[in-house]
Amino acid sequence: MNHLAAFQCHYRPVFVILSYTISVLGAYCALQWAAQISTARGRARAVWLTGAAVAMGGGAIWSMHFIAMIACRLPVPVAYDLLSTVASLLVAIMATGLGLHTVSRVGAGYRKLIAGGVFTGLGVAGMHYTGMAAMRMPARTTYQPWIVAASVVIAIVAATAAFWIAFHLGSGWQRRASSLVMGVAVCGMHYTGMAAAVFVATAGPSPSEAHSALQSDDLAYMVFGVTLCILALLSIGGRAVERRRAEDLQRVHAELEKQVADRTGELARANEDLRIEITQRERAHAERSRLAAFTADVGGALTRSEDLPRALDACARAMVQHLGAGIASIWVVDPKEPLLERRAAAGGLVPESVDRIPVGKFRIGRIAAEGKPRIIDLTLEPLQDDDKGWARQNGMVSFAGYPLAVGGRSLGVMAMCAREPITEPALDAMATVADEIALGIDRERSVASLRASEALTRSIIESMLEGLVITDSSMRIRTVNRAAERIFGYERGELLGQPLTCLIPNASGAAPLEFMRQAKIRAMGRVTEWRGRRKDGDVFPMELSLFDFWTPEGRHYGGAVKDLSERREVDRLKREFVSTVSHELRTPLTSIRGALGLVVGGTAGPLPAQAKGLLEIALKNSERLALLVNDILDMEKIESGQLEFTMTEFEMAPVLEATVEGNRSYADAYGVILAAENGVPGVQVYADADRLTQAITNLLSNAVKFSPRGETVRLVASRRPGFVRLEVVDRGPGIPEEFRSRIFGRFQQADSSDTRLKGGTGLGLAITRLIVEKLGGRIGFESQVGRGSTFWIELPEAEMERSAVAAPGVA
Amino acid sequence: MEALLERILYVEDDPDIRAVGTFALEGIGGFTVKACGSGAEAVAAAPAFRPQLVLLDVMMPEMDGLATLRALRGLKATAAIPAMFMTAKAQPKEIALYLEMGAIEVIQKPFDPMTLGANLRTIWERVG
Repeated sequence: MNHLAAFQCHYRPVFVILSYTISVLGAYCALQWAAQISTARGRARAVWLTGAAVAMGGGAIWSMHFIAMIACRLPVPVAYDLLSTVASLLVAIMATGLGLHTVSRVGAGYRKLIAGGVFTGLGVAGMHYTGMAAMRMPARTTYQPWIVAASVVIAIVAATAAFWIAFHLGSGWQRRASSLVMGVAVCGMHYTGMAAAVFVATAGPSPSEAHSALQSDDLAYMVFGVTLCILALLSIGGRAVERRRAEDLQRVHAELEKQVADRTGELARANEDLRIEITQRERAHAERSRLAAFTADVGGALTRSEDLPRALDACARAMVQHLGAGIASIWVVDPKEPLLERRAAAGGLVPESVDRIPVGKFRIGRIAAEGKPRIIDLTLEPLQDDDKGWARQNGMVSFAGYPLAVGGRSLGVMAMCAREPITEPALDAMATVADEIALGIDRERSVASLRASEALTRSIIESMLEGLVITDSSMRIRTVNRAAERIFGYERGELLGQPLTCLIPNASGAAPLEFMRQAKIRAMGRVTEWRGRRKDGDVFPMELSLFDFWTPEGRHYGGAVKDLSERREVDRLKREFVSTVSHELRTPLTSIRGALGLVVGGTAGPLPAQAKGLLEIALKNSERLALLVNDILDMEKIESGQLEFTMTEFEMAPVLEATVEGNRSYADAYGVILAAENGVPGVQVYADADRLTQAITNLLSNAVKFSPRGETVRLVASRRPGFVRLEVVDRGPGIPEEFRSRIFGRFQQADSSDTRLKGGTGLGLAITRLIVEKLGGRIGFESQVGRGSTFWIELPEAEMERSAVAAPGVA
Repeated sequence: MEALLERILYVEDDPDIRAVGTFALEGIGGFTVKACGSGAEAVAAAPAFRPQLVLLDVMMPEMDGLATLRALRGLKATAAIPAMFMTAKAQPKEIALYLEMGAIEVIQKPFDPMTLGANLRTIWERVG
């Protein structure tokens, strides 16, 4: 029978199932490998890509196609061309590889997904139709174009969907679902493509003539089995590699996690360190601010407060405010006794009962004594007598004290109690202000001392009986005391600023500076007599001593003034008294001495020898009494200044000669020779000649009285630089050592029997010394017991003495 | 005063001294003496006695030696009679005052009665 018939495939279900199964398994394996592509690089990527392409192209598509073709039963014998079949295999693998490569590139978007799907879909279609072209059978194959197009679309859409699933969903059920979809897609395309094919039998060689053996069911099983093995190997290998990569990833992940954990720990520690540092810095800053505020408050208090108590109160308050003191107190050492007195306190709850503490006792006293600061934990310390538990009762747990000292002198203690433990910084803060407070106390003490000293000085000056007048360098009066006001009759305000010359008669017209120049010559450093003028014009005698001193304002002069008016009046009265007494004593003495002289002289007739002897004793003693009266009166007159000295300049030699001559008869009576040795011819002295004569006479009469008969008493005058020396030299018994210190005293004689044997009053040398001193000279003696004595007088020469300058007001 | 000193008016208020003095002048000195107990008595007696020298005490009640001397100077008959003072008041200033008043000398008390007359003669001759 030779007629043409069209036919289509009749599928055997077993092979259809096998084709779908192998398609799903191939897709699954391909997706397993494809999942690694996007994360792999270089050769690993090529291996994964190749594996995926082989699994998809070879397994899922080509094997499915081949088994599906065997599943197709046609009414004609069918064989397959081997080369075309292999070519279809390669097309499937390459097209799938190209699609996977496109889709799996880094950063692939939908366009690449679609491109990959298109490539793969076309590849699948190409493989299908290449595989169809490999069919060798006695039939002609035609295709229904719209079904072919649908198969191509199905291939592209299914491939795209499979890629989307493969690259957008994870492993596990997604991959299995994707494999099922892929299987459906591949099968769908294949069976759609087969549906497009219409076979029309032709007369031609039978398939057996073709050089192919790919036409048995066994081949389908073999392809299925080989493909399954290949897929199994790929899957197992892929899973192993995937597991290893997963393990690597886990390891890397764990390592990363560890690194992250380590880094996180480091960051946490750094953060904690930073937090601690910030906290510390904040605390330090707060501490510095607190310290600065404390220092500023204390400094301000000491600077601004007018008195120390107020300043110390402010300091105590600052301790409470800035140092956290529950109570703060400042104790000051009493300058007179070793006691600390509480001068300031703040914070309330001050124990009033304890406000004085002995230095060295209790906490505060010990700090003052030792000069060392202390912090004491009150909870550990036994009760102190100074607070008797007060601190603890009021919740105080800590005590701090700091010594206040200047230059090693303990001036006090600043102390505080707190309800929190007191720290070293608080003690440091106390240290920063301790010097300042101590200086404040010391300053107050100095000022008080200065004020007391000033008050004392002022009191002394104001209480002086002498007037005090202070002038500046231009002789303007700057200060006067009460006595000066009284003496001159001015009010203080009337004198201040006036020239000094207003107080001196005949000097108001004189230039103050010229007056002062002359006054300085005469009165500086000496007591001199001047005349002063009172406000009412009364001129009066005054004693004036001038001195000068320097102050920061320049040179000043001071004058101590004594009003001599009263003294002069007293002197006058005394002179009268002396004169009267002198007369009244001498009057009876005159009668006695005269009467005795007459009787002893025999004017009343001869006397019995015994009576005459007794009367001679009476006469001698009346004469001695007269001398005694004279000497006593002389002493009194000299000492009271009543014995007037008429100072003149005269030549010494004639006076000496006259004195010697005047005493010669006296010496003769003792059988002693007087000799003068004048070594000062022409030398002038400034003295009272009569008084000098009296002094020399005293020395000569003494020497004569105590010289053995026949000896010589010499009066030797010699000149020394600036003065004249007179020596009375005798050969008498000398002056005993024990008597020498009092020889110029009153009523002194070496031997009391001398008075009776030698006569004399014992006042001679005392009077002589007074006279010599009044003359501006010196007196002394040298003596050797048994060898004699030398009494000497030294008087300044006239040139040395005439230095007085006549000045206004000079008395 | 070329004549020898013979007549002396002696004025002394103290009777004891006056007795001693009078004895010294008359008994030892050999002078003719008119002793008066007061200045007034002396002024009254002087013109009649016409002394060559008046020896005056200074300190006397009512009319002292200086007043007596002034009174004698005030009388024509006695104005030129030299005078001496014999006194216990013999400070240098006092002596100067006496000499200024016209006294020719001052004799200090107590005096030596045995040499008083001789001293007066010496002074009389010296003053000439």
